[in-house]
Amino acid sequence: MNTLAGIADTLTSFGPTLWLALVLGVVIGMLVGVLPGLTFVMGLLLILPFTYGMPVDIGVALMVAVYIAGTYGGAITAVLLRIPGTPDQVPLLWDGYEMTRKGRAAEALGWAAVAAFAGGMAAWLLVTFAAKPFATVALNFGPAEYCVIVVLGLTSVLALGERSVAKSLTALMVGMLLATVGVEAVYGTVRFDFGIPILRDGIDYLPAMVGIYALGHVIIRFGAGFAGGVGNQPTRVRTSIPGLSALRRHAGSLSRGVGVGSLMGAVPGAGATVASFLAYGVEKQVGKERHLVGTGSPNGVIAPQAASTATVGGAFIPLLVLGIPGSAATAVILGALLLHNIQPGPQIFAQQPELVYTVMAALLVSVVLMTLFGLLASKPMVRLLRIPEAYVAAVIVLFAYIGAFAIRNSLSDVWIMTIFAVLGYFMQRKGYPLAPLVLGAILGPLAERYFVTAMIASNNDVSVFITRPISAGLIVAWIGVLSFLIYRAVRDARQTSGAATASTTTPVESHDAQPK
Amino acid sequence: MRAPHVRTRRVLAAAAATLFLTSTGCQVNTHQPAGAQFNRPVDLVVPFGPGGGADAVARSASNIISERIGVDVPVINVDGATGSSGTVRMLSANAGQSMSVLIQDTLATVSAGRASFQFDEIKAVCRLQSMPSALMVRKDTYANWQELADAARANPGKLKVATVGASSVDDIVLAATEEVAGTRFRAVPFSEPSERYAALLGGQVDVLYEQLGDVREYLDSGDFVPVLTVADEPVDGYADVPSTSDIGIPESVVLPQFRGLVMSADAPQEIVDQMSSACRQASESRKFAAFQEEVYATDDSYQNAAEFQRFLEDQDKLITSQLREYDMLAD
Repeated sequence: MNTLAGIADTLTSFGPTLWLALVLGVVIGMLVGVLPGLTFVMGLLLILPFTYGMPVDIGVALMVAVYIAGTYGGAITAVLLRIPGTPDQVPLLWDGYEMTRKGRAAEALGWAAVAAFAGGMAAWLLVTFAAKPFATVALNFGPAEYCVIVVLGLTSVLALGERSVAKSLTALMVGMLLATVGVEAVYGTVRFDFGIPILRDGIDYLPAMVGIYALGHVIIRFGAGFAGGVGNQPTRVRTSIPGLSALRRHAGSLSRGVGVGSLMGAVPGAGATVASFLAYGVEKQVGKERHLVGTGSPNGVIAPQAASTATVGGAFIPLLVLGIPGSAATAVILGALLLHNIQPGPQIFAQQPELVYTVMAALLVSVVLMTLFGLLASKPMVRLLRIPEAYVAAVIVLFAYIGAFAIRNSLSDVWIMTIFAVLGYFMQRKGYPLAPLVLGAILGPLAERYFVTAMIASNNDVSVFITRPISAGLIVAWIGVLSFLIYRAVRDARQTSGAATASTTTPVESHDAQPK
Repeated sequence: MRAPHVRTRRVLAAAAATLFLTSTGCQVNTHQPAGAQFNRPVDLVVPFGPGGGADAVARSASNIISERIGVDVPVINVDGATGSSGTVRMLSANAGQSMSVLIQDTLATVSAGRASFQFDEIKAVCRLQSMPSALMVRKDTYANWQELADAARANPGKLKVATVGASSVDDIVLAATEEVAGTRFRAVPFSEPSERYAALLGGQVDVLYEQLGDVREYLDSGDFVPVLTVADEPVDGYADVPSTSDIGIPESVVLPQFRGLVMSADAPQEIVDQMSSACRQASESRKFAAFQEEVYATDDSYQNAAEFQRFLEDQDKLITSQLREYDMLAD
């Protein structure tokens, strides 16, 4: 219990500056989470220069707070306005926004806060008590394992749409194809640039995501004259914090989300986004109320949000124990530590226990602050829904353009975003789901890179995927998901031929294809 | 009930304004040195992942350069393809408003004709580091070079070496080492430094090709053991580790790792020269010197724009001839 005593000591010795840093960090983190185009990684990069001049404990506390709050802030806009502030909030659109449409916004926000809290606490517990064994497990994952995990993520997106696997698959392939534009990651071949400099630099998934979801949605709603939008919200909104019995009912979703998130956090390059999609997919396939997921079920909010926030723990452990960042965000934090001449790694627990305790204490405080702010902020935020939608749409357009430009101060991203907004509009009109496209663009390049690296390492022997035990286990899981998909498709086909009347819209399509 | 809406909107507007200022308005800087040409931030693209050697030197230098030129120098990581992805990112920005880190391995891909940009698209700004590399193994695997070479000869083409990327200098040195040792290794490229180190720690690869200074903590903790230094003479602190010249690798193959800054060839010469002198001031600062010592950078690390350009041209010729010798040129 040395660790706990150390954390308690550190907590009591926190000065006012440190508390201020934590509060500020949580606010900044939630803000970058809310703004489309700005992810928590970019939030960390933006504050990085300011941490140079700070004492190292304050700088680290600030960054921890931004990181953890950044995995949650976007939930509020995703649920209320259908804007995914960060890519990992995309799954929250499906059930979270559906709940809002049904007038259950406050409940959805309550669950998001609870899930973020549970994910954050799991991250804290993991970092505090299980860091070393967890790090050892993480080291056994190589390119082959990462490749299978990413393929699992890609497959799970097909499970999201219930009806048209063909349309989901098409969208997925288009996403993956678009992501191949630019410089290939291993050998540096330039693909599909057609001699245009902007294309040589590739199509970043961030402007694509902002365009398709935020701006594309505004175009659709504009086309509909903003008619028939979000249903009537109760005039006096209370964010309902779920009661004990409700908590018990959804404990399964919470723990599945936390589990997926903690594991995915340690996978470099995957992180919160993959975790969030995977957790949603798991919920849809094995959850107790899986038939409800996609129709506005709290489980569809809980699992992805818990997973997003729980990745923080998985990502921090390899950083602290091995000096290897588990995510882009922890890599930025590593950069900040290095500039203070602190090298996390095998020796940091022995040489600088105070710093490790500061990280753990800051993590704990940030989780609590974030949940608190989230609950407090959601009350005024729900009122947003009573502003005429056209006004909100104008603000969304503004944010979308600012966000796209802010990604790397480049006008080409603004163009890419605009083109994707138009593409998203037509896809929705034709009933194509959007999620597979975005996920394909995010995961496609990762899958390719891990696959090529695994092939080089094994001298082009494809059997590595089944001869390595962890990879083999993951392959079995993948085959399970795949056979489930086929089974469902066959069963549905039989049912439809029996009674061709029922037009059960798929969860993804039901929001993506809004009334015209 | 109008008030809350107005307030909410104000909050949103304020948030937008804040975001706008933080993301784009940082260049508003009142104390610009006289004669400065810089009125917008100058991006510093690191073509490798965060946490590696190129990233560390860029982040150490960017602060001081930023102070000298009076505008922000934000560091952006764009990894992939042995540095090509990041360099292309730099080239796609306005000339003179972006620079990137160039390292020996990226230059080698240019010489090999495998990069996605040409040598004449870039212009040297300054060299910041020159430093020795080494082959290292995980502790308790191979005690020294002899054991590793024996194992490699017993299993030709089986032992895996984590390198920074395909057709890099790592590959040239590895080819020369293979020739001397009479065996073959299998080079596995990992563009993220963290993946490279995790691969050795977790046993995904058997050998790591890396600059000594970039993995100092693993060397100090004893997790990584250097078995062969890539240098003409023994490296300080590792005098008992044989060097490539000790095992008979010709001096022309011992290409030092370097890290410098480059801009688009279209950047105005005035901008390049000012940036070059800002680099010199950065490299002369006490903080940067301490960092250099920590990572085993040599004393003659800094070169100005003209010197670095000449150095790059010489290295390009040298690498090309080496690549030809080991038959690694692209068709």
